Amino acid sequence: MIIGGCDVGSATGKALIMKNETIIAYAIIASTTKPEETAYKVMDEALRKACLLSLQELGYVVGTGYVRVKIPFANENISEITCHAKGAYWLCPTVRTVIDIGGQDSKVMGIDERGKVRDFTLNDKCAAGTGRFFEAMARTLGVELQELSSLSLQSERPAHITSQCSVFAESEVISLINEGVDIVDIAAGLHMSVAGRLSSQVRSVGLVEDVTVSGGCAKNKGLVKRLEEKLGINIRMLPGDPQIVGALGAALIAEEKLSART
Amino acid sequence: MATGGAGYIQEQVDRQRSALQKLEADSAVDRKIEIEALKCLIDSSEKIITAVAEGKTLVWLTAGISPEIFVTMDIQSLNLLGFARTMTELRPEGATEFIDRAENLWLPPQTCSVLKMVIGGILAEQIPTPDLIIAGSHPCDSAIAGFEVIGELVKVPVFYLDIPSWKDDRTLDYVGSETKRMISFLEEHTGRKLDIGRLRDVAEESNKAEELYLEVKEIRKAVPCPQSGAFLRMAFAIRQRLAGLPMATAFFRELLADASEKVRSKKGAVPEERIRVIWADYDMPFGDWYNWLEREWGAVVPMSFSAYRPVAYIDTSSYDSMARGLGQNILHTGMTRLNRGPVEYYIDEFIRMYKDYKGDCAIFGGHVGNKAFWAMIRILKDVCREMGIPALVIEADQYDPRVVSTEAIRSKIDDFFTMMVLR
Amino acid sequence: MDKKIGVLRQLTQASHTLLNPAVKSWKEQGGKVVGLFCSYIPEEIIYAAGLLPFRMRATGSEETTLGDTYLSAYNCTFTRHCLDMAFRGSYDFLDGVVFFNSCDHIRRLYDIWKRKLNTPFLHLMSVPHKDGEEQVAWYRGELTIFKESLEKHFGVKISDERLWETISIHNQTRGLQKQLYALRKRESPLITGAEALSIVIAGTTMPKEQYNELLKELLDEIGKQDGNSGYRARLMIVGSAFDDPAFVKTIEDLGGLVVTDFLCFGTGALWNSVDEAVHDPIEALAKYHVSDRIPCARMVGGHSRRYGFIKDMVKTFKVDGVVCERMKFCDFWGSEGFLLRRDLQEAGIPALLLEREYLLGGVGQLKTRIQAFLETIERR
Repeated sequence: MIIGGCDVGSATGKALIMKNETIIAYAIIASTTKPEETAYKVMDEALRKACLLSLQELGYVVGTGYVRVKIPFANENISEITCHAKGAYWLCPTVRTVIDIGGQDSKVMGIDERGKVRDFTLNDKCAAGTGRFFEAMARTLGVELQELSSLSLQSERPAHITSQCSVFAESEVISLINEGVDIVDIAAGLHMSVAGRLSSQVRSVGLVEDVTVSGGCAKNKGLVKRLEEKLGINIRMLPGDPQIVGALGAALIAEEKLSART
Repeated sequence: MATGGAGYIQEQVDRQRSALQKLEADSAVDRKIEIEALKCLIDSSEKIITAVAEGKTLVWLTAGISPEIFVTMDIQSLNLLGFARTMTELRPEGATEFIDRAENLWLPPQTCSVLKMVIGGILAEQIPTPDLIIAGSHPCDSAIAGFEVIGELVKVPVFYLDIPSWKDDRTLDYVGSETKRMISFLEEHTGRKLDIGRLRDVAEESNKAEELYLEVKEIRKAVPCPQSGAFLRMAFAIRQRLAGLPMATAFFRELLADASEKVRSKKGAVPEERIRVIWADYDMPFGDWYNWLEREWGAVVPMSFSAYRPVAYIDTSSYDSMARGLGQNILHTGMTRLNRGPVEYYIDEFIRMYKDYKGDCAIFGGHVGNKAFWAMIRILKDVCREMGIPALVIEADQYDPRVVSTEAIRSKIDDFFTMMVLR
Repeated sequence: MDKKIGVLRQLTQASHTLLNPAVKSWKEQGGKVVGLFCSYIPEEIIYAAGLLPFRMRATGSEETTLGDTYLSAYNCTFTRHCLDMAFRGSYDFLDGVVFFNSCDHIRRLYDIWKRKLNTPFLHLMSVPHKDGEEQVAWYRGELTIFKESLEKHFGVKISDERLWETISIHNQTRGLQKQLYALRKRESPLITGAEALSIVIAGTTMPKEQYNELLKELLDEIGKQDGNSGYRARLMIVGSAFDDPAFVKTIEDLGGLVVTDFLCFGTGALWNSVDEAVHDPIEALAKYHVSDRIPCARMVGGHSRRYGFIKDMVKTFKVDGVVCERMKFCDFWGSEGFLLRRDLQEAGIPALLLEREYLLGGVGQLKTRIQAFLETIERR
């Protein structure tokens, strides 16, 4: 059985193909302005990588992500909360808390020993604590996104950034620059601030180990480090690319649905 | 019996002792009132610590509950809201860890941070657990909602006082009988009986302090205002915690002696009084406002909402009349006095205060958690405009300096004085 | 079938607009309308005065720019929309408005209304926050003052006899609404949550005799209808002032059928009846609101009673999950949501906390949460 999962958000689109419980291909692209277009594009790339000729070769496709209802070839859509939990658990069955930090939202899922979602929080109303925040701050500091992370790791004394809101944080950063605060400390301060927000979300769901991270920002070593500090635990990193966890979960659910039919 | 850590109370005592040492080392005579006040407050806190250590009964209180009752029945009490206020005042960075802890537990961030502070403190298990709680429907939504959570977190019997929006005789009778029911609740759960004779003595002691305080308030109308605005905060705290004790009466006697002497010699709280600010709000815990205003601007606060208690003697002729008088304290204290009723309660008092105390301007320290205030501020601004009163509205979280910093607020006050007051 | 649809349409119509045909007709015939903020104000007294009671909503409001000139961004959007509508003249058909100290936001709305608008009759009451005998007595006093104020302003006399009549009519309403709710216990509930909410809202906008007739008609016809099946889960909505059937429809379109609630446009105001055995009608009304009905989160010490009611509902209506909604800045339902979530989780009942504004917005985000919640229930 070959099945597919497709996770399309406003920042990126991801597609993943599985066969016999093995990942055979995946793709990640920047989203276009048209969700349907993004979905087709990313799935086409995954199909190519899998040496498959067309969508018809997929027995079942589950769509997820913010624009999941607009994925035309999906047999059904499932929320990204369920998908991220499913994907993370499959990759690491000891995981009980999943922190997904995406381009425009962040969510925390608490899962039980069977991998079922017990509780969740979703911050999709505010850019603070998401990829967008880091992009904006990197611009303000005049560095590349990856650089922001590596700079932050060098700091011994993170600057204290009080603003909850990314708009105000920007002016705070500018003040700090003018005061001559070291850029590594500002970078670290920003990461601390985001980690602080995320840790609040984690605590409201309940901190249960193992804790893992998924989504684009999981690749941000600076953020992971600060999160570990805030939560007082070691984060269990997932194998492979953390950005595809949602699409993976979607594919796994596609498998479930297809099995149920046969 | 009280259990749990009194860690935060001890912390408050330690910080206050340290402040006391500094004041005593300062040779200027003017520190006398602050020294007296601190001694009273330290004594009051230490009684709580002792009660906890001895496993005695402890009652948590909401705002405005008459201390005289607890003095009479010899029951140790802890005013949770006062605790939060004191903690914010004493810690340089504010007690924001408490707020965060409460918010992490799904308590809506828009709840007033006083309640978040209290709940956070309870969750950290550093406020001694009580045997009983006295809560009420005053002074605002957040207090009601907050105490619902507090009652559920600490599963002990709770008595809720129902406080109506009005202030007529019918209301005073009702609150008087609510007070009697509260006393019955205390009797039932502590096994102690309220001795009416003793209550009479305590009430009369309290009345003495009230009379002294009335005179102080009158003297503060003088130009220049003879005493610092900081004394208002002390008077409020001591009245709330210690009324009915000779120690409190002694403090008010000192306060009056100081005020009388200064007004006689036409001495002002500052060398040159430039601005008289009516602090049209409750004392703001962080930022040391009264001292800063006096130091930076020669701006004295002759009166604030917290301090502006109407005179309320307890009629000691009968138990009924005493209950009425004790209940009245709730209606007269701070936010309950002003916030529970229609906006006229604010406007009438504000105008009277402004005229009597010869204000040059008004500052409304707008606490972000006070939704009733924000719904009313436009009306207040309209009134100020009609009356030609320069008014500043500060938007800040009075318990969380991270929301709007002390520096930012100072800057606003600087601009206000420069542009609107000292033109 | 056609008739039922007709009756149902008539009933749901009222919830889509503010000024519905029944109110228009009442006014055209020279009748007067008195608005009321919140279900703790007895409509019976207003109706006994010959006036039409009208529960306040801000249906049709699109913005709060005018409302925000006097209310602030720290206030509940329900009050801000109402004030906005008031400033735009949408409530000009009202001959009076009654408020009470339900919450800080409403109290100040009264203050602003009194100073800035021209409604001929305004009244504010102080309702107790707890449920003892003395509180019933206090509310009896407030209601007497209210009754006399109505009599004086509108030049009418409200007799005890007439009051008992209106109490009886309103009790019939409650009884009929409860019968309608009972039809939702089934595996295939005969009405959706959106329909139920619309029907209850309709009851707050028209003369009760007329409404009761429509309800009876609906109850007669509805048995002939197929029920709603094919849902993913049975939900219960709990929370603050909630008068938007479109919100419920959004949830139900995803497969979450709302089978019951604890809302003031719902069981909060209809599950219990006014005790007609009490000696005095004003006392009966005071007792009903202060002690008999399941308390709104605005009342102190009511959590365990509310939770008990919710648990019973979960059982009898076979609820799969509870949605606790609250309006942003509502302290009461914020705390109650906090406590309910804790209690429900302990009892193993799935619970979702939703924060909302008065107007339905952020539909994509709402759908994500509801869908995730439904999946959580299904995949347990």
